[in-house]
Amino acid sequence: MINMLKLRDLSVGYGHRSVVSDINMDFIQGGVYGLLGSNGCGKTTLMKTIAGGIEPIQGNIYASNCIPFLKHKKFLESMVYMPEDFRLPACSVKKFIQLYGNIRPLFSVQDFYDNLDTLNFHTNERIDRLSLGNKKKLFIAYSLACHPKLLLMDEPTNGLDMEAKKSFSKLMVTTDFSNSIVIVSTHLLPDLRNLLSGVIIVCDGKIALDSSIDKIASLLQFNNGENESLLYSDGLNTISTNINGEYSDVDIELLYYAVRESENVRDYLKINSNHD
Amino acid sequence: MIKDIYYNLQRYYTEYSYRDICAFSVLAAVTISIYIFVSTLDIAECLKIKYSRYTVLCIWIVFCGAITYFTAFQHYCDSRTSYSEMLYPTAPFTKYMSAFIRCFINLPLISMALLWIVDYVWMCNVYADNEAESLMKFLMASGEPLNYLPIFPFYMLWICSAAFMVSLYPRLISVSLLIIAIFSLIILPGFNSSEYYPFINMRVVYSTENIRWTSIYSCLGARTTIGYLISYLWLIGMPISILILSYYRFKEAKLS
Repeated sequence: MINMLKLRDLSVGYGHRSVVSDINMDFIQGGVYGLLGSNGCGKTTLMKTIAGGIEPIQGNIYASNCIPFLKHKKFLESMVYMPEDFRLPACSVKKFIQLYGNIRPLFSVQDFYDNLDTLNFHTNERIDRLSLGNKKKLFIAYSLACHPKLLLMDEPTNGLDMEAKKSFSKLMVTTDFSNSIVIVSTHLLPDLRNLLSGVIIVCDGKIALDSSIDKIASLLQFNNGENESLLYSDGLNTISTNINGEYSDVDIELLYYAVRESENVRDYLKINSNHD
Repeated sequence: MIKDIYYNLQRYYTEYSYRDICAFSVLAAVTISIYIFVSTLDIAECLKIKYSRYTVLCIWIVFCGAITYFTAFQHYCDSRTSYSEMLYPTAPFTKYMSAFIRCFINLPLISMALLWIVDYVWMCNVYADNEAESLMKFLMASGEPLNYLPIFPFYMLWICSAAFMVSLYPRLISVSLLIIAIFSLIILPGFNSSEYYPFINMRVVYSTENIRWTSIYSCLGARTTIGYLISYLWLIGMPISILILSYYRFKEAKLS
């Protein structure tokens, strides 16, 4: 059973080529972490490494008392990795449950069908012939119905229509993740705005930001207009230090661009932030 | 573990049973064609059966090897499909054993059973036209029965082990290792030519009552006996070593 995830001095990549290095992070149960970064920055590589699909170039990953790359049954039973691009087997939904659901100890058939209803998935077609969007819905429903202790989702909303994205957000909000660690990587920040408890931003082969939303909100102010303690501005929106101690909604999109473009923001957050 | 092996096998057969049935059908069709073709040759009836059997057994070895190569770890090289195999919630050993059972037990047994059926039906048909006193005497006169040629299952084991290795290791390394292994097979008889191949040097003695295998083992000197033991160990040890190496390679398979 995975109840904590620690990355220590981790470098991930392929062969001897490091994509992201010097990763030191802790994840706790109940956390939903957004993994943000530009194309090719290493988000997928990092997720695959945490899932056990790739051996770390350097460093260690500790998922409770499991090492992911060894792919022990206990680790794999408690972990679900939803890749961005995947192939579903040539079978019916019912057979899919038999082959892929029943082998997982916490899989709930009722939750699976409830999730499919929430995502508005109604088809009896063979699942390998489904459209990309429907495949995504099926996999999302399956992933959540497994009640995994570690859930890794790589671009889960890619291929979903507007209505499905809304349903996905609703499903994620209503699902109980108190016993899980969830890491979601996405380019589509608005989809995740209300879900996250922590943010990780990958930039230039390093982890530029690793902090909880609450901590960010306590350190930074997101508002319009000028401010004496301004750290970053994109012309209309600003980020400044939170002098007054007032809590403002974290604009994740703005934060992402600020961390990427402003060394001031990065340094300020680095000194002050930590996961709760 | 047995339950997990069952799940893995069920996953494969749910999706690919039709494909396997088609492959077996092709094997059966080729076998029948060979029997028909050989039966047209102008030679003794017994030899026709014998040549047919040797031919289909060679095809059987190639068939098992090819199916093993293409299906044992078919999804591990594809970035879209490798994750579902690698991260399926069973231990790596269980996944490997499932592939082993499928390729080294199910596949050869089912395909051999097909060959048996074709051979038996053919034999009954030929016997009906023949004037032999009994089916048994006709069987004896027509040569070694299909399952009584131990070298063929052994070659099948070798070919399928090699297929496992080639499908997991980089091509250059695996082909190089195989060339070395085959070369060692050829130069192994450092003692005395082909006397030391345990299967080749069995003899079949036909009589009116039975078919009897004899081995030269009973009249061996110490040097020859040692040579035989070494060759047994080497010939069995090689595929086992290949399978063990393949397993450790399989354990370290990575998502692409």
